[in-house]
Amino acid sequence: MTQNPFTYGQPVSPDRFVGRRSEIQAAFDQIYNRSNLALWGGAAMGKTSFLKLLASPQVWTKYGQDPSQAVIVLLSCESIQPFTAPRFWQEVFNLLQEELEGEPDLQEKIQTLLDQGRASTRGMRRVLRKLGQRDKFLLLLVDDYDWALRENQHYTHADMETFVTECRSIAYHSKERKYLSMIVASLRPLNELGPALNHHSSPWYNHYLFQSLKPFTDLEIDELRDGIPITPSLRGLIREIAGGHPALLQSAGSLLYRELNTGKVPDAKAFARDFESETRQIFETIWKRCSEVEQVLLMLMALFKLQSRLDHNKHFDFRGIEVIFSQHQRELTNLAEQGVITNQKEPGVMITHQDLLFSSSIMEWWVIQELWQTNNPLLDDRQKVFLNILSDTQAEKVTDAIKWLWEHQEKVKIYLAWVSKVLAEFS
Amino acid sequence: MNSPRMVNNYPNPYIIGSIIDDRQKFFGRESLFRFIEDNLRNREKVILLHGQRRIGKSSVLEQIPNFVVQDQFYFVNFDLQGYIHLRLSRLLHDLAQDISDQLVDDFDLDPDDINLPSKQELDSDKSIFFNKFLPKVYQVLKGKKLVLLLDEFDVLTNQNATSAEPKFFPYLAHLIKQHHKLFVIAVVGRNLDDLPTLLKVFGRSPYQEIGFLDEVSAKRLITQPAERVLTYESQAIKAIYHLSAGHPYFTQVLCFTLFSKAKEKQNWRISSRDVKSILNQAIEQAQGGLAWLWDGLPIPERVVFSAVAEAQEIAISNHEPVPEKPLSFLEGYGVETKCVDQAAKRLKDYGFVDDTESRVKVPLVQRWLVQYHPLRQEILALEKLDQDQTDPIDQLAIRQYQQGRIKTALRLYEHVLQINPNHFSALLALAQGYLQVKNFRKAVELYRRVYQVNPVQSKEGFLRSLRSYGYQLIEQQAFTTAKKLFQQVLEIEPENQLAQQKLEDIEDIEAKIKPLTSQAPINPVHQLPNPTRLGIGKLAAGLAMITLVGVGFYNLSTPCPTVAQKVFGIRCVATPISRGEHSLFPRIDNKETIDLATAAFTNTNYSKAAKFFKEAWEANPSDPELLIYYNNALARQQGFDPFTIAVVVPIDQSKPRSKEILRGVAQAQDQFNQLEGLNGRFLEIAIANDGNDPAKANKIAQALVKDNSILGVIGHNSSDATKAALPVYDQAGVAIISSTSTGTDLTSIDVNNNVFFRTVSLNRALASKLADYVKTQPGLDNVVIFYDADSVYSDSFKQEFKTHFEKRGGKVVREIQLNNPDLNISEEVKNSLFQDQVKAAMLFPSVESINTALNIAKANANLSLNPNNQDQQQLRLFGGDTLYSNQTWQERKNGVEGLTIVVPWFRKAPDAKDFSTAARELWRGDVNWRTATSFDATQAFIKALFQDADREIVLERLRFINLVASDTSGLPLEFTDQGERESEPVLVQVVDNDLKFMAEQDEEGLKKFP
Repeated sequence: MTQNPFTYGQPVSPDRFVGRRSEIQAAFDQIYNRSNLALWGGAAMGKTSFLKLLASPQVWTKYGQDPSQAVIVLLSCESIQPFTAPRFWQEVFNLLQEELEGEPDLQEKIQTLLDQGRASTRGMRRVLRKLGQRDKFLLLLVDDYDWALRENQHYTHADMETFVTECRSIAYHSKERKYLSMIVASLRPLNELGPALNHHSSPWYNHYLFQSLKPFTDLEIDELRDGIPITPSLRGLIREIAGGHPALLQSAGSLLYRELNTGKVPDAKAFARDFESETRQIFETIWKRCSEVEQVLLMLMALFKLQSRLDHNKHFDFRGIEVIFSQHQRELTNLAEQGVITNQKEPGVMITHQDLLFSSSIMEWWVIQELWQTNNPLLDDRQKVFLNILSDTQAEKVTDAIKWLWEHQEKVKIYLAWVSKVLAEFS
Repeated sequence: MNSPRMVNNYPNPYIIGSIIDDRQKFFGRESLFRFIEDNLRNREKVILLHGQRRIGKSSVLEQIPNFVVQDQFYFVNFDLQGYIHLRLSRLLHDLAQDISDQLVDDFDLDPDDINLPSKQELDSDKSIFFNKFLPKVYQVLKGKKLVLLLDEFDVLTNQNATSAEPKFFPYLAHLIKQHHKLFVIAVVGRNLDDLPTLLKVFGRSPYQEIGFLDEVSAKRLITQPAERVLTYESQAIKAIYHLSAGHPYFTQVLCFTLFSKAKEKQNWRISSRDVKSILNQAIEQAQGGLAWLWDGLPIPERVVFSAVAEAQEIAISNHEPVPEKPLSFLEGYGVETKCVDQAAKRLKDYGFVDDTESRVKVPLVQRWLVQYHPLRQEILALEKLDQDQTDPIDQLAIRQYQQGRIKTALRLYEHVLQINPNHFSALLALAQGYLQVKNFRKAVELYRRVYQVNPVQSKEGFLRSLRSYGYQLIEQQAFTTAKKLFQQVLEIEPENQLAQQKLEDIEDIEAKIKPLTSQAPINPVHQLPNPTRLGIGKLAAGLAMITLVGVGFYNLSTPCPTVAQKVFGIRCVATPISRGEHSLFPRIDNKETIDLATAAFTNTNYSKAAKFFKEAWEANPSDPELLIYYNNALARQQGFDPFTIAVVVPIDQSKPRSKEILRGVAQAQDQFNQLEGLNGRFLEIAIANDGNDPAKANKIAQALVKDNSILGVIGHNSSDATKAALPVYDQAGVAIISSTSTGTDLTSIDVNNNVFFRTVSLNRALASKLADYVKTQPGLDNVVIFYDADSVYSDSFKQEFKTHFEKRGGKVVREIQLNNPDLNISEEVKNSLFQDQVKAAMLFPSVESINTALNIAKANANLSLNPNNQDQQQLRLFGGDTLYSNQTWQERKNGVEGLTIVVPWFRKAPDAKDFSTAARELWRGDVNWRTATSFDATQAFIKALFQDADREIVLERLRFINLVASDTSGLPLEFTDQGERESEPVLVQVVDNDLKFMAEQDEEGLKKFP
């Protein structure tokens, strides 16, 4: 049996990495100019895999870049617990030391700085200068930067402000910036994270080129699915359940590959069950990261979609509620940027609910399940959010629809059951 | 030309976010460098440069050594940004370190040659920096002057800073004064006028702005970095320059993105279309630079900035040369602009908008604002101004409102708005409050504004207040203003028929008034002509007749004790509405128990009332009134206010029919309350008696709508009574479900706001069912119809039958009026049979003319006794649903045998079995269709109930009711948009003094006679 070409549950290795060509190009352009890049994207959108890719010398060569000058350090802020600036720099120094195997004197220099407790931006500048003297530069790849942008017991707001401004200073102002390129990855764009702006100085993030990782395009999806010989309709199914979400696609691909390679009749139920359990975490994370208003918008979207699916009976009354979408364009753009939903309109054009699709049908299913799990007290809480954005009558209509949903779970399940689609495909 | 492979590896030469080190990649700013050089040579010790973020200040600083002759100067670059929270000694240490490092590199020194002070030394004595360190530096520089290039100079002006700030500027000023070899060039991100600390210390220094690039420099910046690979068409350059307005950062972003795209597509020629296509991507990548434009602004500036962008967008799409001014544009959104009136000027000073204050300077920024900061959402932030003052009052207002102290709450909300006129939540709450206390004028005024800001949450309330105010004005005969209100309703809802109707009505009246008033111009005190004649009466009838309800007629809120009857002469006994205060039926049996029960109920002793009503009901289990009052007493014992529904029955006209209706209602109520109601809230039924008298029906309706506890009405019985009452419900927005009125023309005035529903089949359905059946009977192609021309119901039944019958090829030979006082029954029957040669007669009496119809049956039977009738010929008789009554086949046995009646429901139909069995158990006897449809009507209301339901909610929910067969008397229940129930009527026949269900159906859906 050949090895499963899909990766799930861990970052994708560079040799299996698919797509993101223009993003990679932009990263190399920034590295070449010793500029900086702030990568952001939703949960499991492939940020870590992307950083790993940039750390691979083979990839550099493939993109016509010379890796010999680069000393690459990749670290995750999440691994530094609790996060503090000194611990961050110590970690960078340690890793850098490991990377400099052929340069014992530099290693020694770094060790001295570490020993003297001078592993700081100042110390870093010294090291960078030394690197520069040897025609080298540091590519600092920082994953989970979000962790550096929230306070903890050992990391006050002032500490954080100092940390990010020092990072800007070293990457932007210092003479040694010529020997450094910094790429950070976070869940949201940097301007939405971290310390509030100080009116008296430049924003701490404005030297970064912002690059979002969006869901895969159709071409990228095809490229990924090329790893497995399947029928066009099965491709359609994967598309429907995973959308363009890389981790979902990998999971679906991996499970499908497993089923198709058992030599037996593929087990549709096992596939569906495993896919749901493997990806639950992702959906949960997506859901929890949404603001209350975004959650309400997703619920309304799900209810609208459900209503149009459930023939033309008036099971619940949603007239007049669609205007709510016109009032929350920013949130919708946000959700689309995170790949939760797809907006079929051009940016800047008014988005209506008809323009919106759930990127993954499982996400839609998830939202409905979330509605089922909303018990009475929870519904009261939701009602408060509804009332903040809807009129009283509209809010009641929505609550009614949710209650209808409670009472007609079986009916709804039939319409949303994707297992049957899998069954149909597998048989 | 370059080979593709070569360009393929060509790195992107545009730079986003980094300082430009490479002199070759730096364009423009020639005059700025000249300014610097001139001032340095003039021994100006401090030069200040300022410009907005991302304009290229740091790059300018970096390039000074490249563009300014270095023979006399030595430049050291130092950035102050990281020192907000650090001490002065630390700053001085790091500055010394940087100077030292650079000297070591440039002059190839040993680090020990320079006496670099340690942090500890500087901590204890800051003077080491200028006494020891700097002299050493001058020594190394051998006559050259030290120029400190200080970036982020304004960072230390932060007033909250705990750090170096208070000391740094005086310290530096002192240094410069003392050291003639020390110079400073500093850049700041803002206008110096905003920086009083700096202005005080360095206010007299030469000062220059770093602005946008001129067109020539911008063009060089666009084309030169990639001149070996990219070719820009001139239109493309124009487009880039237009979008970036010469702002270097945005120019770089656009070109960077264009280059990436070109590389990806391997298309190295850039057209203006390419520029357009990458715009959104460029905006996304420039977020880092753009976000500040927003995040750094206070709320009023943000809102105005969004407004400028939005107004500009509208002007662009409408091809208007000049966008609307932001303040007047904002007023159109309901914003009170006093708090933002300085914001536009400040945005102009920052260089974000142009001198007209109505255009965003950089078009790319304008696009970004429209996409990421839509005005409608940003406006809401104005509510946060003066939050510390408004919040406590607002919270208090909310609590007062919740506790029902509405007037106090309204005063508090007014106070909130005095502090911040753009507190939109308070504005909405205030509008809602005024609507609730029926100050419609105020409500309209407030909603008008809040609707502009927040149409979603205010639309319903706005429409409601417009309508209510409109009605009020009509009553006051202020037609011109009323018209405006209804016109406004139409602006919001162009299809709103009610408003259309009202406008037409008003115009009618005005047309009548005009000639009258112009005829009498000299009469100084002209009285409005008789309102009834002009139709105002008619107009008002549907609107606000509440005021016409006589005080003595009915007062729901005051139960009427016996003493009061005597003292005030109020006729309580005759009060036609009761929830248990008295019985509406004449009582002989059980009179004592019932009297005890009603007395207890009146004295709010509900447990006692429940006990006695129960006792009385058990003694007379077919009596629905007693069961209803028993349940009402239970409902009032629950500790929650019950939900109340009224049912209107014609007790004065027909006690049996009234009871039939009440049984259905009582059965549903009993069932609901036995299941603990809705979260412990029980259902209460108010019973009203209109005797099927249209005038009474109308008055009853007025009394019911006036009582706000009543959420909906079941009734009335006859179509005529319902027709008379409907406009009252229509106006008040109270849902009414008739379980017995089948008249086809019953409907709300405003179809979109239909309040009328029914659970009974329409005449149309009944009549067509019957017509279909009659037509299939051999020899019955010609018929005569007996009907009551005075009755809406009967007339419409006749018409519907005729239409359907004739459509199927039958003929109605004659229509005979039952209401004709000179009607000669036996003559008519004879004539029909012998003269007209018809074999069948249709009896469609109104409830008032049932007896006449039954007399026809009698006359028909008597024909066989007529000696001239040798063939024993008779008319076959068919009837409408009014004939379905025990009367028909039990009291008047004579002549009704074989009579076929069409009814909405029949207990022996298979669907109806479950319900009729349950009903028989409860009432100890069979029930008929009126009980069934009344049960359904009550069930519909029950399903429409909702926590905190009010009339509007109940009405709205009724429209979407969906009951399954097990919830009703046998058939699923949903209402059409017109409030109709789509159900199949059934045929029954009198056979052996009983009724038989005509079950068999052939392929065409017709029933065969057994």
